[in-house]
Amino acid sequence: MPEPFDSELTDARLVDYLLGRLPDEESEPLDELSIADEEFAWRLRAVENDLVDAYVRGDLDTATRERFKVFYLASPRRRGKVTFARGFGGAIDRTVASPATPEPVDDVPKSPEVGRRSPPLWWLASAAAIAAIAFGALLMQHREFRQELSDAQKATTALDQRTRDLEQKLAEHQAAAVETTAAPSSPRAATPASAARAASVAEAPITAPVELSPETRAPGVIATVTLPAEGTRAAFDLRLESSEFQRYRATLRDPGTDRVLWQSQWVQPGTKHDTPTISIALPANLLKAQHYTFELAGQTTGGRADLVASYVFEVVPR
Amino acid sequence: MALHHSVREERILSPVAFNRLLAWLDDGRDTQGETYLEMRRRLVSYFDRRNRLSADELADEALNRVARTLETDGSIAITPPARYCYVVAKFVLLEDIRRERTALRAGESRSMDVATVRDPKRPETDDEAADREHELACLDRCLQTLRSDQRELVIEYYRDARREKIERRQNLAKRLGITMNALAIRASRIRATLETCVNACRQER
Repeated sequence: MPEPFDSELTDARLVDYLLGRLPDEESEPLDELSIADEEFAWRLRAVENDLVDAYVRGDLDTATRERFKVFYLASPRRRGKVTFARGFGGAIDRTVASPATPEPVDDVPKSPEVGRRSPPLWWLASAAAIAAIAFGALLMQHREFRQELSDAQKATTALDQRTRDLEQKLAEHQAAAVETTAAPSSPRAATPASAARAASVAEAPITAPVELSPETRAPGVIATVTLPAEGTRAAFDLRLESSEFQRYRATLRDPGTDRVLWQSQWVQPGTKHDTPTISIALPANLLKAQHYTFELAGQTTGGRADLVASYVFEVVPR
Repeated sequence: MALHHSVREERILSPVAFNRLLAWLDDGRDTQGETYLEMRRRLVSYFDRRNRLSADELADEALNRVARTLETDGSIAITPPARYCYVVAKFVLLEDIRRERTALRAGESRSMDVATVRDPKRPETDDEAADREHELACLDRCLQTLRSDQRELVIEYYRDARREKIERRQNLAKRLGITMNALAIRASRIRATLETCVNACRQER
């Protein structure tokens, strides 16, 4: 039986626990406390709420934020907590910005026999008229504000869409450059310019491959890759638990935005150290210092892509 | 302990078995089922932290096994009840991990949920905007259902950021005459009530 809840257990430690950064021997006692100890269970919940709020407000340091995106947001339930926290934070901010008026004191007598003097009727009518005018003014102001907000949102939306279009075009160009590299005889390498570009990428020096294993459920160390030099290709060996498919395709995603950054062609697995392995290489200029995820899909007989494993790694600065 | 059941067994307990489970979890008190709901929530969170896709089902399975043990054995030696729930949950977790590994080896792929929290830079769709408006309306409504002291506490506790938040919380704890830990727990309980209210409100749509 674990020790009773130690109130000296720091919030930082609990954050490590929530982000899957503790080894098994440290996280299992906390697992038990999270179910068996009421005080700990609520404290853990409080720390988790603060963690999520800090993420929503942008208050996390870089490493914690990246880990949060990769690990914490992997669960639909936890993503729901983030969505709630966004709305909750907004509701709190709105309430702070416009505090509620005090509840009216009920001093209207229930019965004439009580003997309390009631305000004259003309006073009540005036008060009602003033309130109606004030309400009307507020309503107009509210409408104007909403219109301004709507206009600003439309402008932002247009700008965001333009940014997305440009990002998408960039990703398509980069993916096309790599595909041309992988299949130099493909029809896509028809133009001299694209052939020259493909040739330059194909000739780029390749780094020593980094071995990645499939993501497991247990907390563990995330593989790190030093940011490769410009003009090189970053090589990876993705270890397979089994090789039930003839061909595989790797997709590189930014876990924070879920954007596809790069995708390999369908390749056959090789063997390294008696383990089926998919070897890939991608342009180093696609990478920057952050976390990434490779999704590996197997090709079914019907040509469909079946997701079989994911691989998480972190690129660190040179 | 009878723990050798498959996850796919019948999940629905008889009313008698369910009431016995509630009473055992209450351990002498009468919480009107609150202890059961809280235990279920903790189990779901536990399985979710272990990245199990079916956290709800696994939590129900764990509680069902406890109920069946109570039915067959009449009593459970391990105390307190919450600790026994953890013991059962751990077995359920290990079985689920083993089952998943077997499925992967057999060629099945683990369905990845690739949905993420919406990137704030991406424009909202009309549906997302409508959902957000509705959720905000639910939040405002649910905040009003709190007692005024609860509302004041939760606003005071969760407003601001960083240093201002810490100082505000320290002052609040001092004003209420409670420790920071007790304040955190109190705020979490109110927030949990709000979450439940908002989820119920969203279902009404």
